[in-house]
Amino acid sequence: MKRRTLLKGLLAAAAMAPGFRLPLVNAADSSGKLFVFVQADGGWDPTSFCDPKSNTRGEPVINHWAQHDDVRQVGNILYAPFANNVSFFEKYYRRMLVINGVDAQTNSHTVGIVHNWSGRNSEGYPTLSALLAAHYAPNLPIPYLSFGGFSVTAGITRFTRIDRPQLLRAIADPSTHIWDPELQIIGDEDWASLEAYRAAAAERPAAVSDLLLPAEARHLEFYRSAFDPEGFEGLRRYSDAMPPEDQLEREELGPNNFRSSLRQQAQLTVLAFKTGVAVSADLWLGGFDTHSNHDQDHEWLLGRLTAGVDYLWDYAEAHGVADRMVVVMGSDFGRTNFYNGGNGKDHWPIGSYIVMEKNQSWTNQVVGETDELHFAYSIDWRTLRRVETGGTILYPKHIHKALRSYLGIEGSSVTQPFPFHNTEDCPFFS
Amino acid sequence: MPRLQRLGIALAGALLVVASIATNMGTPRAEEEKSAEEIFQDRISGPIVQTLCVKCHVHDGVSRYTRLVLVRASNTNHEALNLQSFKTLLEAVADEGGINYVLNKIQGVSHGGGPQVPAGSTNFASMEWFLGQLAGETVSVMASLTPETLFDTVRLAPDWKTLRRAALIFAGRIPTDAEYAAVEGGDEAALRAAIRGLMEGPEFHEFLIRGSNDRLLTARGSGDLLNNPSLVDYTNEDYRHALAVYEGSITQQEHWRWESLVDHGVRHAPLELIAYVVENDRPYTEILTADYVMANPWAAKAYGASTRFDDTTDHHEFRPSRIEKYYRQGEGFKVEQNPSLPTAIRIADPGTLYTTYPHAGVLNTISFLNRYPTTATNRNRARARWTYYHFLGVDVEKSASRTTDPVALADTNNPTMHNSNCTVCHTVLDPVAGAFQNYSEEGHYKFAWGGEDSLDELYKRGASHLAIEAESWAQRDTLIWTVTLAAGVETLRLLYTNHFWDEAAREGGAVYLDRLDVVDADGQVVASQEFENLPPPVSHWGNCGQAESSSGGGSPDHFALWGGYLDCPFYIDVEVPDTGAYDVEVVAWSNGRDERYNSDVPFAELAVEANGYEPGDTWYRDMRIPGFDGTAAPDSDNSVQWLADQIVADDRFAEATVKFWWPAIMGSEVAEFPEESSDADFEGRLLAANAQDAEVVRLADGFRRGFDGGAAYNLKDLLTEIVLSKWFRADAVTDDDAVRRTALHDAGARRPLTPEELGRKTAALTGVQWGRRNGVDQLFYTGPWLNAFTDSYRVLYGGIDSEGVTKRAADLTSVMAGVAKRHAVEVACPVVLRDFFLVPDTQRRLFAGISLTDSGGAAVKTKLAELHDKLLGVRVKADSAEVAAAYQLFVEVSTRSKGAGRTTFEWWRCSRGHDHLLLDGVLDNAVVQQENAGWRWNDFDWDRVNPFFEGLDYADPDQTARAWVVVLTAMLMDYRYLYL
Repeated sequence: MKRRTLLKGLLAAAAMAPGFRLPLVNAADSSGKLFVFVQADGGWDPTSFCDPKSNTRGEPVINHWAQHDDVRQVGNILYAPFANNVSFFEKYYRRMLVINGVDAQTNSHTVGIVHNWSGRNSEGYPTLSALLAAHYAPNLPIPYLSFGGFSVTAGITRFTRIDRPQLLRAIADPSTHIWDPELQIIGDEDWASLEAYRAAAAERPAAVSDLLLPAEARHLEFYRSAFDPEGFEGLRRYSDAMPPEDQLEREELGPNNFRSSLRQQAQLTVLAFKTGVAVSADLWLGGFDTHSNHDQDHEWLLGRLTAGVDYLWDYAEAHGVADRMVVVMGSDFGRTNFYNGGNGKDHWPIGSYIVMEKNQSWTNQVVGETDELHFAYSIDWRTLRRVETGGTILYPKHIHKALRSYLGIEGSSVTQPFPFHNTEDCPFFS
Repeated sequence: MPRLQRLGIALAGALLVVASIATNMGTPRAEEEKSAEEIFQDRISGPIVQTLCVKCHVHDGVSRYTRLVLVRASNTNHEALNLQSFKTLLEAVADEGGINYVLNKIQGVSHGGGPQVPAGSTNFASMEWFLGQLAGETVSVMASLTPETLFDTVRLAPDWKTLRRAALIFAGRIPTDAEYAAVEGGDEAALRAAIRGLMEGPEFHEFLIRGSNDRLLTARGSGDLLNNPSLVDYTNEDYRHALAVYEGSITQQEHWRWESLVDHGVRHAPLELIAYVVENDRPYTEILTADYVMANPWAAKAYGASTRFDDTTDHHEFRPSRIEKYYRQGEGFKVEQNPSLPTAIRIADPGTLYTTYPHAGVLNTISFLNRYPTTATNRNRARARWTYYHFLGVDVEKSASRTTDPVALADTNNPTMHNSNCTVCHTVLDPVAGAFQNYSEEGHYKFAWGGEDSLDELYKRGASHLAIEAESWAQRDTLIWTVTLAAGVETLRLLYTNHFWDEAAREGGAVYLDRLDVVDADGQVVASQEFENLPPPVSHWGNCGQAESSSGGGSPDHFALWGGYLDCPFYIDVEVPDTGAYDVEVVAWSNGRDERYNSDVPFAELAVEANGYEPGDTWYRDMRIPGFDGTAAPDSDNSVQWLADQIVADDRFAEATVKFWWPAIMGSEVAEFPEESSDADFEGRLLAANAQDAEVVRLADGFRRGFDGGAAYNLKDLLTEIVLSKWFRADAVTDDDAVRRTALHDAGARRPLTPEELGRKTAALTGVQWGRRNGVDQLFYTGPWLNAFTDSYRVLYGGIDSEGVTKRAADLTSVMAGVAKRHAVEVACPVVLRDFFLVPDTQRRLFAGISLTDSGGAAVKTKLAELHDKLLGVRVKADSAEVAAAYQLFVEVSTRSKGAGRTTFEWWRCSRGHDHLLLDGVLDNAVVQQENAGWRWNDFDWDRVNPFFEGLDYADPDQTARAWVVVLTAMLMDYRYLYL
């Protein structure tokens, strides 16, 4: 067997194991849907957002806002009149499915994050963003953008971080002067020769070794993919689409040193979608772990969260990709149904997701239910209606499995190593 | 097919089997016929059950709520009882894998206690044999892979290659010829010595800082670390700066710069301590037991220390110091506020509470404590969690069953003390949290006024203060608090907040207390107390009140309490039948509304607590007492120092140290035990976890005792041994066994160089440091190594910011490739410019011994072979295919350029400004200091530099300089250059 053949066989074998997937399967479908997952890090409070709770006589105060205001409704969706929720829900309820009463089965941030964003509470599974990128865009240069938070890929794709968009030009056109793009340090013809030599050199390690170790095989493949000239064409398109620095969204500052760059994350994501270099992104806003001063801090954070998602939709609309976008919002878990001594709220295992898409029959709906103290009810998984006996509590795996099916990757080669056994097919998107 | 056999096949290759173990043990036939009972007595009960299992799996242990509860040897019938427990367990887990469920557990799979009986060990074989006999099934025989045989088909890297990789990691360079020569003989001792010899100088220091920060994440750029008046010198110096800004004698930028320099010295203290201990070959235990703190000149001054420095203007110089002037705030502590300086205060008198700061290495550096701030409900648990993780190798969050009952999680009855779902972790975690008892939210020592503690005021004051609006017995209020009480006798504390005191009129508030009832959920009074029957609270000035009669005569029927707040609490013992939530009802009235305090609440207020706080307490009474591993901390004043001593005496400290440093070398964490046996790659991952666990144990043992007779706890020796391990030296594998390949997922040293490593490598090899702008204000990285990789492109090239981005990217992306390309282009041109046109041959870094007119094959090919060795770590001959390919590129470029009529080197295409030391030794005074908004950095004096460049001769008739630029650029983008 020739060494090159050996390598291919080796890589194919490696691709069968969940630790590593070559981005060689499935044709790119960069004209299809685009996926954004918004991670509210620290544990948000659904009772002040999409699973609103009034106060109950004889029970500790669950929400201060409920002492002087009532739960609001728009369409079929109930929400809390808190932070900027009114404008957000009024504007977007038609493209929104709220899934309440999702049990993260933990009060630990680490486990809650893993559970909510990979679908199971033990490590080893990738994010849904990674699965979608691996399935739909294995050949795109930066298929999966991550701006922080949980972004485990399990080796099926790579995520890309961008913190200084103004440097993208320098990265996309590396052979020109950074301050004078007209001045080439290395001319086009020389650059082409150089690239041909470099690409050939990247094949040599395989030719001189017996059998590459898995890490070496993996790194070589990632190297070849990362240096792919077609990928750089994409990066150029992306950097060309970047607005001038003074038009890039700025970081917002809040109380207690809170910071939000969610708008810039949304801006960079939309431009990556528009230029066809990415199909999925994890947006991230931290600080929701409000063990003290819950109302003040959560008001600012939820305000930034909804404003960020609002900006995402508006910017996507302006750039013509809103009709293709699916947005999923979620968090580690929820917060207690009472305030602690510091006017904070501690950890609570029950949380929510919001799934958003334009022009769908399943939107303007709420599924999953919690009682007045924010305990989850069991539901009949077929009807999604509350049942007194039997039924199931919703867990993140139900949402992940349903999203996988709806987004067309359940049963595909990328999801096969990461199955959800004994998990009902909840018809959230029917 | 018997169940066990099916399972055995499912696990083929991953687990040891009885036959192979039996062979290893040389078990005679008679032995194999032993019954389960006999095996249990001979091989299980003593070495495994009574040595390992009963630490947790007993009725009063942390695992008492699991499906395996055993008895200790003190029970005379322990063998029979424990044997029955195993039988019961096997029946209970029959559908969850049966024997393999137990075998996985003892290896660490989803086991709160982690690995206890490693696969491949004699104990493991005994367990497998015993369980097989107990289940009454025949264990199948199959070939297998074990941690011992995992590397049988792996080829290790040659010594020179291992040395080169170690040099890049520890010294930021490739080995010298002498270092290479020293390892030519294939002697491992020589290799060990050569690797050990790399660990010196600023490059090694930078490795230690970076490796430490990757774990501790303290080198981040936000947060006010020194907002603490107890640091008297810092507070007053800050005041002086603010005043100087106000008076115009310094600029605001200069004030900010001073603050940043202090901050740098404080923030980097834990990292610099680790570096100091290691570089000076001190026992690594000192990182926790040091009775000093590392400080730069600015931080030392802020601490009031008189530390001596070689250069008091170098903010990167750190020396052991002490926090000398720390005054707890209390008696005599006086603060002055200048109305013109709203953000600064002056300590007019620090008072009498001078404090000898109880340094405890990393653990109570302000930076470490501030990285994990606590809250009124977190109560130092984050600090305890990360202390366990970093220094004991225990991830407490993973020690519990992952699926937790939602009702348990919603329990409000002090669940960390009473609910088994919670106590499994908190029994371990909370005593260590308590050991941090003296440190406030932001990490300040005994920060509460009075200097006695750092407890939060909410706990001390009581969570819920209720106003008393009634002004007479007739109007009396019934105030209700809901508290959680444990079955038996509990102590309630009642606090009165006085609503006024008029010194001139000698009038003050008073509250009148009639009765206290404790009411259960059914409305039944389960305990009751008349206040007039209680002894009066006593303060330092006397009784706080007295029993009185409503009628003015007769027997007392209520209590008049006139002293207020913490000085005069009532303590009331009540007995309740069950643990749970109760309403505490107090009947009371006051001497009326009064607004002389001008407060929002003009009424007297009462609070009832069940936490039992008393003045002088330093820790929460509703939590476990401060301690570690079952032992209480003896002295509350220095419990973190005591904790540090306990940790370094614990065997787990050495293993944690291996895990702490493994990623800095290997690029990946030590493999964790897989949790889901149904995962497709379970077998391979389990094998990897077992094998790496065995390696960690081996390395930790050597670290504890000293390697090869060396000193104990010497980190340089440990780092050396990690490099010498098969996990690092693995270079190729000669078979394609799927389980082996999964287990070897992260084996071998090949990984992308970190941005810091790549920047240093380029600087060392080429003499050009990409993006070098080091000046006095480069704070957040060690100055000499600042470059574009550690500044502008750090996160883009997969690095961390220690804040939101805390994990390094493990895989190269297109964006990272773009950064690598720009780096190559912007470095190669100045290197060629400098070597061929600016310096003599003896000073050239890459192109010594060759001239621009050497365009013929031999000289160029020889140089190309040399560059392959230097840059790529590839040893090829001048007539090799590798060199031929590079030579073809060289010829192609030079021929094309020559054909275009060029006769000179187009030096002006080079990005010359990316390293301000490019002209070091070439042109005097080429560098000037630039300033913007108070921040300063170094750059070229272009008015001087440009004429210099324009005056040089760039004749290059064969266009070889241009060709070298292109070839060098290509090599700097090569896979083998960018990866270790």
